[in-house]
Amino acid sequence: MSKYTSRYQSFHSQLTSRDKLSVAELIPRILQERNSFLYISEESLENEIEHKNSSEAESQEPDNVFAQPDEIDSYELFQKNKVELAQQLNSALNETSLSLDFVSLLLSSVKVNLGKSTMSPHLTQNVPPGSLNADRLSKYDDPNDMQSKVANLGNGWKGESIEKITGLFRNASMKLNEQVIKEKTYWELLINVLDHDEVLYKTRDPLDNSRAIGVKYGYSASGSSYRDEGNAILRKDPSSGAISFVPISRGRAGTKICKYIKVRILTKVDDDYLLTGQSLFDKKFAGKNTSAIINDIEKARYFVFQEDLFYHLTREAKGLINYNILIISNKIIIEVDNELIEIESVVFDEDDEEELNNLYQNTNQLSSSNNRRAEAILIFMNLMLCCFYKYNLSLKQKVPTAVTKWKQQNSHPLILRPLLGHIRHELNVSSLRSVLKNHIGAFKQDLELELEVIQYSNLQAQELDKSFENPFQKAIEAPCTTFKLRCKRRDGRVLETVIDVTSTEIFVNLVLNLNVTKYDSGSDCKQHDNGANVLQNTFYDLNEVDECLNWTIMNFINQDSTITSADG
Amino acid sequence: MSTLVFSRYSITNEEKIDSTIEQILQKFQDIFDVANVEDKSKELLAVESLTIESDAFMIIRLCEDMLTMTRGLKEVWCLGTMRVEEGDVSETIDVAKVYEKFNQLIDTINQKDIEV
Repeated sequence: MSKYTSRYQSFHSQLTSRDKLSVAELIPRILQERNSFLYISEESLENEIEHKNSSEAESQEPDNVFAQPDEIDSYELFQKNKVELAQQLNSALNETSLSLDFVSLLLSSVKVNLGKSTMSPHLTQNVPPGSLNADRLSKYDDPNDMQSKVANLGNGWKGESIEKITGLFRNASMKLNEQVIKEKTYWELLINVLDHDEVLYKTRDPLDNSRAIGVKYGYSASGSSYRDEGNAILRKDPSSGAISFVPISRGRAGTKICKYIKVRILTKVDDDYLLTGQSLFDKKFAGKNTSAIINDIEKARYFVFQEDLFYHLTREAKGLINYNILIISNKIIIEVDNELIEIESVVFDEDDEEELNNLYQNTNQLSSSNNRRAEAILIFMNLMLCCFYKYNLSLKQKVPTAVTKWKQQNSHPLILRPLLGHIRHELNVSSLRSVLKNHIGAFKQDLELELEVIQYSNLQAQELDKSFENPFQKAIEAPCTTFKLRCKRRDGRVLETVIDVTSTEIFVNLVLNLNVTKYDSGSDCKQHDNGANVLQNTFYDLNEVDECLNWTIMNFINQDSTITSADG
Repeated sequence: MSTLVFSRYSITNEEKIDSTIEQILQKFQDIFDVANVEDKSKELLAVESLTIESDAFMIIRLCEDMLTMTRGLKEVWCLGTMRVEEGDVSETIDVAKVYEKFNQLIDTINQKDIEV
């Protein structure tokens, strides 16, 4: 009904608007109505108009047939399509829910719950679940024929899969094999390092923060307090599995400058200092163990010790600047009695064999005369640092108290002080000896003089007991040499002068303890019996002792025997 | 203490290795179990051929795990143990000899060969 009315309306509007059409619109319209201008002539048109006018009253139908397809406007078309679409959607939905119902019902015989959940309420009400069953129908008539086709397909699929996994296995085995070889190299090298009694620990590579195994080559666990703790990483080469030694300092990896200590002795000859001895660098890293990695570790260990030693030497030298010790960049120069002892930190250059082997060292007798001493000084310094490490370690092993902590923080090795102390002591002893010899020469007409020298008298008690608590006692204690000068008068009286040549605690300052005792007879003197103390004093200068001694002996000679006896 | 921890870790790790080997063998057997075609349906054959592949991947993964495990075990053996040397401890140091030698060393330093 509605369709009819809308069509009529559109037709009516078309008729009224025909005269208003433009030429551009008109021509296609005529073409559509008459197919072509070819069949249109004036006569045919006149006929048609006449015919039209006569038949217009009869019916409008024929015109209506021509016009109908064009009369539908877009709105109507849209409406129509919309309705059609809605219908089709409805039927599709219907069909879908029907098929869903079907599938659900079919499924409900196997999985009841799953089927029920998708079934429509209508179906659940009317049909019991599980009441539908289905059988597979084969499109092949011959079951054997079908089976053989499926078998062929299965063979193909499985053959393909097996071929694929064969390839996978081959690739994987090759990869794994490579990795195993790398692992083997890595662990063999690592075992090598472990066999060398190195301390290994887990750490991370500062380069990429990956896991790595580190080696402790330094002395931080052995008592060293040096800032370089001597840690390194055994970095694995990802392509070969070989390990390389990478030292780490302050959380960074990298190579270090290797420096070793060289001792030179220069002697003053005719106002000029000439080289008379130097220590030899005789460290051979390429030992019987040919592994490069152990070589590297040994080398790093040696140089970190040398670095530590020089650090402590400079620290100690700073406190001794008043005693003719100079520090010039990487050199410590000790000036003592016409001699210069140079302790230098030299950069290690493996290629510079000439320097390392000291080829120009032994050019003549003079330049090599002090080589042994230079070596001895170097060994002494190394030993003293080892002693310091040992001492530090013993502090660490004690129960931590405020005192041990203070000691740990304030301990410094004794290296330069005992070295300088002993050299100076030897000089002082020889000067005093010459002073005393002078006295003996001067008074030998009036007196019977006897000189006894006990070197290192401070160590004598230990040596007699054979109780060596510390084998390095000599370097720890201030050296002390005792001179005993006995002056015997003709009347039998004896004046015994005991002079202890020693030094203060820092080893370098001279201390002379003078003790003069008078005895009535030689036997009393030997037994140290009935002695009268004449003088007891401490001097810090050799000249004062010289004068004092001179005065005392003169006094002893000139004393009247009666007064002396009365005094005694 | 450290040996205790070490052994426990070692045991669990070794057990893990054993079970991994078992799994690998099982998976390998599975591959052969499903490799035959016989008169199976098309669907089953399709699923089985995919199972073969997944089993193969599993075997490869387990093998890689084994490598990691053995690496861990080696790490524990190398880093978690402490070697105790026998005989070294009993060796006493001759203190008197060291004392003597050290004193000689100082004498060498003091001794001047060259007279000016």
